[in-house]
Amino acid sequence: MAAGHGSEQTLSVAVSAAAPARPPISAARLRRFGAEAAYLALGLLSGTLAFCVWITGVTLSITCALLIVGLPVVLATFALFRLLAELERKRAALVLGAPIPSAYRAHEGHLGRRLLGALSDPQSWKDLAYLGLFGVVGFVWGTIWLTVWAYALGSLTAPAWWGALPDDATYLWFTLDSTTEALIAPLIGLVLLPVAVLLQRGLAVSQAALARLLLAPSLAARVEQLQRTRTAAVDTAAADLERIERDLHDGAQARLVALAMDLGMAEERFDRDPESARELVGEAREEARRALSELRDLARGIRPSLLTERGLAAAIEALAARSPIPATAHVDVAVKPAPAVETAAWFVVSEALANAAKHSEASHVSVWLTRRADTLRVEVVDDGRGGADPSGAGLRGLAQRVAALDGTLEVYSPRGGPTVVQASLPCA
Amino acid sequence: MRVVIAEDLALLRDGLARLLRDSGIDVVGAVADGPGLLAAVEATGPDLAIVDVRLPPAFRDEGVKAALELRRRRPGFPVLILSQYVERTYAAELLADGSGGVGYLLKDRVSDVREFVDAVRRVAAGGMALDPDAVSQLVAGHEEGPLRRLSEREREVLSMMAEGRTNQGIAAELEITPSGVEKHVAAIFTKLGLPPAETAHRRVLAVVAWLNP
Repeated sequence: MAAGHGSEQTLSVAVSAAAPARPPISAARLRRFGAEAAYLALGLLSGTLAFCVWITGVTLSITCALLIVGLPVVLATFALFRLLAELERKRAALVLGAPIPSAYRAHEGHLGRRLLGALSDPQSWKDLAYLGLFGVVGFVWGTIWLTVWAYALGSLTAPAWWGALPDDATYLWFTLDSTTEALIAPLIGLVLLPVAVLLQRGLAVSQAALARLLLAPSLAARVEQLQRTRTAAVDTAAADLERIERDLHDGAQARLVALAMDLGMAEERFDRDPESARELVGEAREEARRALSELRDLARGIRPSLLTERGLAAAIEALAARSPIPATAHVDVAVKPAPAVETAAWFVVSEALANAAKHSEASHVSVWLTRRADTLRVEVVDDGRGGADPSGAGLRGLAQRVAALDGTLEVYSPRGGPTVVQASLPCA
Repeated sequence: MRVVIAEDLALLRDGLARLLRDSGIDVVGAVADGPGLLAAVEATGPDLAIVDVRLPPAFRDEGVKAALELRRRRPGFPVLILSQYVERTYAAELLADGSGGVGYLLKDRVSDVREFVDAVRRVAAGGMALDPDAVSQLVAGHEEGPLRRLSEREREVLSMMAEGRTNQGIAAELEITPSGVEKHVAAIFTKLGLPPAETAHRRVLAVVAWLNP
């Protein structure tokens, strides 16, 4: 369920961005507009769900908590709340640009300990508060949004449908029963349209602010999380250095030794067997070429040269052009992110494209890079058969690389496709 | 002469075998790991083993460990270690038993075929061949105990002994007479307090003293 929900958001973003976006309405604005609409529409659904779950869960828990046998019910309720809260954190990405990070304390062991852990985690109670409030807010905000849009669009199109109304039907505050009135209605629609757009912004932003207030981890939890990711980052860096040393040792260095060996032997042979000496020199040259190419690959694995020379957009477009599956890149990054962020973004795209080429059987891949506020968002979407394994070495390595920058990586890939790889990298 | 090679990279293993055969040395075994080396030496009874420091499974110092095990089973068995880097520690461990027959060279040295083959023969005969790089690490390191009593010239002579040079070779390099070198060598033995023994053995002991100050 978690993955399915996540996908809807991801795809709605991709689809809204895919709409034709020529000036005067910029692609970024249209994308944000679509994201807000999706956010509120989904909020209407998840708010209703939260309302039902909250009422049922709280009532059941209070009743059952009186009995020892009821404890599993309480635990299950907290687990369900946590799941809903996690979905809400992901949904918030539509407006905030990145999912709200979650930071629960880890609790393992028997039922009682897990229950105590869940009860003692302040975030559990904040989840409870959020879901209770959101059960109302999500529904009410969604309804207001839907109503305003219905009137705005309805009024604009009134001349087309007013004839179908019964004679005494009231529209807004007047009865819509003459051609004149049917022509006034679109004027009201014209006024309502910008109101609807602004109201949508306000509703979406306020709802997301509520989510951020109650669902974002406390400072202490955040520090704990940063400590964890920093340790992981240091480990990753050490492992990278070890890999590079080994690649050099077994690659270029070994080739250069072989080259020296060939040249040494050739030197010995020149007098007595010039023909075989010449052959050895040829082999030596071949080894030199391979050593160079291995050094080049190694350097590229550290930081792609085009990224250094031409910047993010050029490097991503070059990746798309090189992809065996036709790929289009949409890079909308006005302010240059830090080099580490660029490198991570490049590796996410590179790995996702390579995976798509290897496993997806897709016919097309889209790459999106957008910088919104302090977040660089990377999205690679293919139309292949899905089923990608996020625990594979490549994707796990990517997740570590992204986590090292305090970002998040999400992979959505149900059987049958499509596959969406999405990374949010903070640029502040 | 018959040798066994232990090197995990086929590129270098084959190249080394070809180079040795070219120079009239019989390669009776070429293996890729430590256990393989021990088995090949048992099976073929060669005169020398040429061993890479990093071998499977962990690619750390398995080659050095295998060489030490080989010399534990067959004291004084000549071993020539090849590596991309030289570490004083490994040289000290290999020479610690004082029985000689130890070489420790950078892989680069194989490009000078004649000198490399010389080193191979010297080690097989129970001599030494420490890489000039390893020796320069020793020179750079601080010296304690009896080594401090050596004169500048005596240190130079000692470092050349570590590389495996003969008195004639040292004399030519330093542009002094062979009898001058002999005097320096005798002074080194005395200052390091080495007991009277066969000269080749004392040379090894002098280097060991240097490696383990």
